[in-house]
Amino acid sequence: MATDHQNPASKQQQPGTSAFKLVIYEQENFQGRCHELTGPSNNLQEAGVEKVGSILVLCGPWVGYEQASCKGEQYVFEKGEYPRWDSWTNSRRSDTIVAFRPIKVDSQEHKIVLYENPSFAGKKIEIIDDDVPSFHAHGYQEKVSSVRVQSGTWVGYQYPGYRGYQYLFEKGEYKDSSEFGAQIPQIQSFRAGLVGDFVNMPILCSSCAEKRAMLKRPKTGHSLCKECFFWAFEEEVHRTILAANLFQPGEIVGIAASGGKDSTVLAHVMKLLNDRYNYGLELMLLSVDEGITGYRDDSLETVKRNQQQYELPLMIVSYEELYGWTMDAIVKQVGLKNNCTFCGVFRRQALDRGAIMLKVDKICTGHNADDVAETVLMNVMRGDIARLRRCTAISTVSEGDGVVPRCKPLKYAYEKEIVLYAYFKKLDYFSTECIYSPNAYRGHARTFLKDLESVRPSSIMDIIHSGENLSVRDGVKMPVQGTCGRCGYISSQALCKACVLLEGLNRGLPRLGIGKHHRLHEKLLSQQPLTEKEERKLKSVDF
Amino acid sequence: MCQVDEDYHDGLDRAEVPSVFKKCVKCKEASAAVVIRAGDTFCRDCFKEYFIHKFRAMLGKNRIIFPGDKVLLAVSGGSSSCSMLSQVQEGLSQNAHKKLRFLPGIVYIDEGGVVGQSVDERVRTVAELQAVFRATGFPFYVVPLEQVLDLPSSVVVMAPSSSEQPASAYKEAVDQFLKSNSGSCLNPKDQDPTSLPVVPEAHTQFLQQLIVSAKTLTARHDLLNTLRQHLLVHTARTEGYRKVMLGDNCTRLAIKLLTSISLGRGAQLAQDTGFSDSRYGDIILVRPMRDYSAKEIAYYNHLFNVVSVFIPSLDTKTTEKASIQRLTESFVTKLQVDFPSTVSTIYRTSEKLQTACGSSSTDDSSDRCLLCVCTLDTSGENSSSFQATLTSEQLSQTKYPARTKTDRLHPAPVELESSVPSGSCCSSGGGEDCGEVESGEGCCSSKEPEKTNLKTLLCYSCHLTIKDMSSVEHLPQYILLEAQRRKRRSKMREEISEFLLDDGVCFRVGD
Repeated sequence: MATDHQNPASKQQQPGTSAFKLVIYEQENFQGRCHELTGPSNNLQEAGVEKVGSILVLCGPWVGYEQASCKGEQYVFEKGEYPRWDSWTNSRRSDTIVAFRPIKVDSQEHKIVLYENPSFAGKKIEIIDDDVPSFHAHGYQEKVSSVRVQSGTWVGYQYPGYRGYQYLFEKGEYKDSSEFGAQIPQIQSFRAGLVGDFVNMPILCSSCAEKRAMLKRPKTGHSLCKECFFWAFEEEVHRTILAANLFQPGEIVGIAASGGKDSTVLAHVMKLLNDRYNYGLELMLLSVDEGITGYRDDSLETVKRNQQQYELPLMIVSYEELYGWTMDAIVKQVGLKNNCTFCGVFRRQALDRGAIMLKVDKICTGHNADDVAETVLMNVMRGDIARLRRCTAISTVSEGDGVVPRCKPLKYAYEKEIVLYAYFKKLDYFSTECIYSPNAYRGHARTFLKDLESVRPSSIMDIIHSGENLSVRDGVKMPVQGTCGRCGYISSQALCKACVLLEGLNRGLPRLGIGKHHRLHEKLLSQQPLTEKEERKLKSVDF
Repeated sequence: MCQVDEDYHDGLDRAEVPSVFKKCVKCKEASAAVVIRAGDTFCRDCFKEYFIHKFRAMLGKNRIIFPGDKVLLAVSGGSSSCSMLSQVQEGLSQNAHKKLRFLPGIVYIDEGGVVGQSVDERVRTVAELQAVFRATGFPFYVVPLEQVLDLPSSVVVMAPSSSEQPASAYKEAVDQFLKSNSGSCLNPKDQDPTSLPVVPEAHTQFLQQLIVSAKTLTARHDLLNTLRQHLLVHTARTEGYRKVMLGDNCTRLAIKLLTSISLGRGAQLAQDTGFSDSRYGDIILVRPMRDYSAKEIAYYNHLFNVVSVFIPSLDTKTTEKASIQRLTESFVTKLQVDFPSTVSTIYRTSEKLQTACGSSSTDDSSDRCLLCVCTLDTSGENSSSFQATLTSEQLSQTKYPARTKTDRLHPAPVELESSVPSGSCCSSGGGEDCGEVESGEGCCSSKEPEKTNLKTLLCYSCHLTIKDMSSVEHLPQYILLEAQRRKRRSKMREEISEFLLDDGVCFRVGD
């Protein structure tokens, strides 16, 4: 076992869960006596390890040192097997390792600045998130004497192609080459991030087989480099659009933009594909201002920035203009419970009205695969067979006149991939939960879906497949679509939900739209007053 | 306890606290013994009556079990199927109110070899169950799961249903039955109690290899379910039974429904969870316990001493996230605690679904899944989750066309009108063989050829299971042989395809 010597350098790096694990074998090929390490060890010989013959890293990364107390040449170990000393060093200067310590990797971002001269002077080069197999290729031919790591963990190599001496860089400043353990200030390649799963050499992208893979696709499990991932992601959206025949050339398409990750990526990809494949579409952004202070006003700022970046026209319709109520005002009357009903119903109609004002032919929304799968689960759990049948449809063209058709080009894109895409493309998006309470029951479905995804990553697509192939028994009653008697919007009742909700707000009876009160619709339409009993029932909202 | 009365007046909003002092809601006389749902308190006698009535009503409403039918009860030893056994016994007894009139037999499938029970443990369990079975006087069969290795290929082929029995014929059949023999309907075969089938150890090992070759517990579960069902159907066929009763209760079915959805079995949902399942044609699987919640059954078994035997299963002592089946189970049961209508709502959803492939829709076996014998659901249109997955896999493995900054905008003449994506090699739509034959362009070529070949014969979900297996060579012979046969046939069809006028018509006649 490891000795308990305190190592000043790694004191604060003790991992909370002590997940690090490394096994040292005294002979090559994992033979001989073995010793397990779960924390730093300054002197292996004192701990009874005669010689380090081979190493198995169960959970890493780790750094080994040629000399005691973490001095001398460094060797970086990631998760994997190291059967002989030459599998962890290619400087081939020494075969001894005397000290070890785990490396804490916590940052997803990687940023490092290299300086030609000590104390951060002279010519400099900045690297972000990317491996650099050779500085020469980047036009930087100077030495590296001081380094400033702004985030992430990096490994520098003496020679191009990750060869020669290794130098570990953790967050902080290295004023002089001796501070990072180098005798000569020469570093010619750099690797960003120590993740785990590879044996000494980085995995290559499964698509181009040239570059080092940067990410593991949540959807298929393949490791891809950044470029190939972008291409695959965009191409998939493109094929979805083609296969479902979503757009016709010359159409005006409104992109429902909330400023969140889904709609930001949607706007970006739509613009890109429209250019790349000559869709011939006229794109514009369409936003709804619900009037939620501290949430929507901030996210709309993001949309406005996007508008400038993508050079697309933007239209914002607000609840206040359309209904005379902001969400803030609604919540004041309704309370924190059930206010999502108002917001959801109003938003859908607001989008449609905005689309009509803009004379848009189609709206596309940023619903992703996770959203669709979650809705399938929700509708099963609620027994809502009518919605279950149509929630997997990629477009609502079939729903009839009076509504602008909506479609979901990102229907088969995983939420995680959307985040990855936005992250690597450095897209500007707004990510905060709505300040009003989220829907509790949906939360259960969401958690369940995430758990399913962790057990079997294809679950999301599997659920959508299930949803697409469900067939509903003939005799089951389905709602009939009609139009609202007041505003003419589609509705399965005499009054559409938005009008009922609005009526409830305006009469001071907020519960009117919550639950089912179809019997009252006729009364509402003919402007009759409600009886006292009915009013009492609809008024009480417990705070 | 003394606060109960005070709470009682406190309006309807508060849930009533169940109390032993409450009266039965039915007879309003005897004091309550069980609370089934919130507010439904039953006394012992009324509960029994209610429980028994539910079973008869379920059979009477669906009219699938005809008088004189030979029905095989699949008893696993668990509380639900043991309860089913006791209901059948009850219904057949001479003094029953609405007497059941079918001829039952019992089958128990001994899966001890799969879950790693020792031979001694298995013998003990079987002996325990035999005692229960013998007490019923019904003929019974104890079948070790190892026998699945010796099944004939005909198991995975849908047999033509011997004679269509429309529901209208039910009444006639009842009358006829009453006239002809209203007498004894039980003919317990004298079984030699010592004649337990001996299982060669090599078979057990082979079976274990098969199960272990599935790398995830989810796939193991799925595989075991499939094999078990094949063995059940086979036993029913060889022993001359036409219906098989399964003990799935409402809670189990709600879990099964969500599991099926999560596994991509949406198309087969109605068959997997409905009252009757006729995918095998001549043998119909029936689920008469589907109206009972697990709680009701547990109460009944407890109150009326219905014996059940605990037998460990694959997910005994596993963690919540060990498999999709296990995860769904814990999700539903936990949600049920906070939202008591969860199970019944999910269960009702299953009732609204269509049994898509009726028994006589197609006779051709090539459009049925090799494992679950359901209609293949992989022939979907271009815009489907299945196609999108194929596209993703393909795109993650092929190099994208080299493009420089200049040809990034190259005006590819992509017509938006064309419905077929030009690049998607996986949609080799031709031929009614549906399975997306990946022969040509060879995408997804990283997999071993065997697996890819099986793929065309499997439904979406069974393919996922096979994908989780390290190798298909451990599959039982009957499955591999049938796979080869089907492949040969589809190849034959390809060769003669140009002479076939219309696939559909020709094959209806040909087969």
